[in-house]
Amino acid sequence: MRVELKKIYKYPFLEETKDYIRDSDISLEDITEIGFSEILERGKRRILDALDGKEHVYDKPEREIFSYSTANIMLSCIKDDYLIKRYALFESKRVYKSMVKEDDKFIERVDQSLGVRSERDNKEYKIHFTDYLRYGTGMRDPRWKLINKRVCKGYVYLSKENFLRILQEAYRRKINDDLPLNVPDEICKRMRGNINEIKKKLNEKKASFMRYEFSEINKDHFPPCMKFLVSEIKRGSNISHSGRFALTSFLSSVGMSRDEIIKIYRSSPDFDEEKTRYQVEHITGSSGTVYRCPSCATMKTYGNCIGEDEDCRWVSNPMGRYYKGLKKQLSTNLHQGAGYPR
Amino acid sequence: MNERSKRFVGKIFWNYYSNAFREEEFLAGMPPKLEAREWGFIPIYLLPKIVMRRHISFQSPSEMKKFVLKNIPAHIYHSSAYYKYPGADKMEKKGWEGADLIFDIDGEIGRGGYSQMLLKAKEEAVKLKDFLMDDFGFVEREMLTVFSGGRGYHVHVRDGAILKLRGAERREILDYLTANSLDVKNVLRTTAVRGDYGAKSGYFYEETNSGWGRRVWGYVISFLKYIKDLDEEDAIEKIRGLRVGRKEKLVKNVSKEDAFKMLTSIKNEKIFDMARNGKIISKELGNLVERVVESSVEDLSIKGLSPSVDEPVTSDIKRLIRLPGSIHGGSGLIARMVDDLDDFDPLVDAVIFSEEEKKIISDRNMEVEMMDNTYKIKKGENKVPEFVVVFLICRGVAEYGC
Ligand code: SF4
Repeated sequence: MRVELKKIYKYPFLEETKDYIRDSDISLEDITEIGFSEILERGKRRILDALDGKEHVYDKPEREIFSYSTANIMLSCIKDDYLIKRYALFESKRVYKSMVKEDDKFIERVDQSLGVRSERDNKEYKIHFTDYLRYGTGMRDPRWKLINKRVCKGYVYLSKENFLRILQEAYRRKINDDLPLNVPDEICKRMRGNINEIKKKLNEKKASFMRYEFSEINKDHFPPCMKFLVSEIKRGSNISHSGRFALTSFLSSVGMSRDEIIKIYRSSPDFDEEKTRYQVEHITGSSGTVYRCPSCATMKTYGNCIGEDEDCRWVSNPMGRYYKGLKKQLSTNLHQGAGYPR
Repeated sequence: MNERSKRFVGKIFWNYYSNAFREEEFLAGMPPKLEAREWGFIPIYLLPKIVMRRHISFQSPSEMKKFVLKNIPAHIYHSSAYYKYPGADKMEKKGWEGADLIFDIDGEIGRGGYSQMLLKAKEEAVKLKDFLMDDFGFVEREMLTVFSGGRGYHVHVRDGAILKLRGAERREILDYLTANSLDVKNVLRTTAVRGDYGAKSGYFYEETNSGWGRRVWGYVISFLKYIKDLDEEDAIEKIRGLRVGRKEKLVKNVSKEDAFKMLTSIKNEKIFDMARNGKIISKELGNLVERVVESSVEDLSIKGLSPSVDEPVTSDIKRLIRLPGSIHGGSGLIARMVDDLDDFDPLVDAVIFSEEEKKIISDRNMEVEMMDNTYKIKKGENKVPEFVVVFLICRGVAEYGC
């Protein structure tokens, strides 16, 4: 077991890791005691690193192995959606980076604990297409589309790297789904110091988003699909590449400036200023082409037509739906102004 | 449909349903977990107005029988989804618990009329099932194939693994089957080659690791082989007939001369052999292959497959599917479950009404193919078997003449 520790401590979801923690006989209460402050400290660091977008560095396996659960407890005490999503993203990225270095034998142990059944087939991994769809559908690059994969007898064949990306995604979802845990107030109280520190950092981060409130542009008339995308970003969800593309081109067509558009993306858990700026500029014309908002048909194909309603009838592009709403508003205003009988 | 026709259709539908609930085959068409399904009905008495009564739920077939006999429906649908509260009137309140994966193939309206359209749809349904078996690994008994009673076929997949798939995930499957958003560049790699093969320059085609890549390349090779062994004249015609659908703007039609050059180049054994390994070393052949690649996608993908994909977020009538074994009120044909598509002829096997002659008043001259016969109908009064009578009244082109 000793030798293994160096390997397994990086993968908190492994059965062996859980066993190790169980066998160590350290309880939740123990961890909050003074003697274990370093474990608490490391748990906090995990979260703060995610918030800063930094990679968490490990050196002491025998402490680090416990820090994962303390991080979970702190996250559960704070119960912030954005924080949990952000943490899940960075924690799963970290795991991906260490998995890449592992050999196939080890990977086989990993996938089982993440609930993705896989089999090795020569150099490739094959997974059931439903597992693939569950985790691969959100990926932005078109190379992840099912049609670009080898699908045979119910299985999708993936390179090791691709397969590990799927595992990363499975792990990210698992964290998202599992948290927040039900933690007694008593325990949260004992971690107050660390928790407050995280909350402070979190608030600073949130303040920097500077929530953009669609002043001039009439957000009420956004088509349902665009409202949905905006709300997803505000909720801190990742949206698909096609979704971003659609939203960006739409916002730009209704007259929003590049900076304003970037601000909207700021609350996304994987926000990366430089990348976002590059994408937004590209879509809004830096490359010489100004991309137009995709048609409703295209929106449908990519699963971005969400919430289609009465006013969507006869429109073929979300822009049309937006103008239709504006016009309707305008004419009701006119009617009311003209003093029509009630 | 006038009142008299409605009364007639109502009566014979009633007769059908009053017996059906006792029959094994009909009961076998009931979807699993009947009590978790939402049901929808379009009543006959309001026709031609289509009014959908939905958000209905039943605990058992006998409860449903009572309802059906009281409100004779022109159409019966059930949800592909399973709900906690199938009878709730708002989608959000139903509590989605999963859904079958249902594919809906409609024949395209075109020359050749109804029977041709049905044949086309059948071909596509066969193709669909091949895809579902070869690529998605379903076996015959996990798929229920049903004639829709109208223009095509439904294939229901109820295998446990797919029940929880969400809308976007289902759409991926659909995109896969219809080759929607297939970019050949993603499934076939082309690299330029220079001079190494004893010829000037060309492409090197390589399959990437994709099912579609293999399909497309396989198609290309067998097409080239086929052309190679054809009469010169036929071969040239075939080459010139290659459809270059989507990118029409970009490609001019092949001239006879160019087609001849293309042909000569495949006829050269050495060049052909290289092509088989992806080495395309003549410009003409390169051009030809590009065209074949494009039309392969047209031919290989499934057409008429409608995105009747379940999206728990939106409410959409598409999410209801015709009950297998029920009558399609727009044709009087039955949505028959099909064991063997090859042997199935909807215009015989889905006909359920009698041969007893009845009168109808038709509003036009036409021909109807049913039960291996062609019935010539003239404008005005006609005497034809009951099944033709029902068919024409349901299609809305004739009225009952008692
Ligand atoms: S129909 Fe068009 S405008 Fe309406 S929600 Fe769908 S994509 Fe948006």
